Amino acid sequence: MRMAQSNPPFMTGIPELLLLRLLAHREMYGYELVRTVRLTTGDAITLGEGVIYPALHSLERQGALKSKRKEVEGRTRVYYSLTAKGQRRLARLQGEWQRIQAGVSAALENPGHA
Amino acid sequence: MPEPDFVAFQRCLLQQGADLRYAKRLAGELAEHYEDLRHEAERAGISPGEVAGFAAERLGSASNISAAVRQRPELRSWSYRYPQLARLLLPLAFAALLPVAPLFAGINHAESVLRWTCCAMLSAIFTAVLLLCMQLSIALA
Repeated sequence: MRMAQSNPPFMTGIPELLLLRLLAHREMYGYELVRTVRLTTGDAITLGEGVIYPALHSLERQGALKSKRKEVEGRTRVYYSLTAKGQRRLARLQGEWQRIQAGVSAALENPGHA
Repeated sequence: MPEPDFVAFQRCLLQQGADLRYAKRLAGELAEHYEDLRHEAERAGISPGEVAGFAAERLGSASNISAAVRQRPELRSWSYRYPQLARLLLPLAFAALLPVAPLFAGINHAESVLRWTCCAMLSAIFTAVLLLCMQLSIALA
């Protein structure tokens, strides 16, 4: 799968953060999510297209997402949206990510400072 | 690259412990995604012979997707997540259901049961008529 091949191991947890962030904006279906991740990250993050579904279903089982089948332009698709629990999870993950990002940036800019 | 076989993929998921409803759902969503990828390839002007290969490659291999399912225990059926409980409860459930199994079998095969009942009744009527004729012929002789 592309994610495993192209994204480094420290990417663990990032796809989940991205999925939650995008779904906080509006409801989307799987293909649309993968395409939006690719477009918004400028191809820096390429989610494995098939493996996105176990991730979405797992988040749904944990109550972070909900899904409904909708017919759009003659095709039925499963749309995912964020729940209140998902919002809280997104806020927590965003906070963690910003903390890590700030720490890594500081270490990269001033490697000698203890 | 050959076209993905979603039915075989569904069977593979069942073998690794996914429940039937989930296996059907995942295979269905993957098939829809595959269709979207095919349309994308067609819109991008990829030759018809290469469309299926493009879509299958982007979707990813069945082994990678089933590995992603395996990594998430919450997507497996409860009997795989709690095998000891399943070993205890399933035989009890089967024992409890055994007396009503013929009823369920009858409901599931209502058409066959009805056909069999009609045949049995017809043959009984035929035998009765035959016996009546014999009785009448003896009485009238």
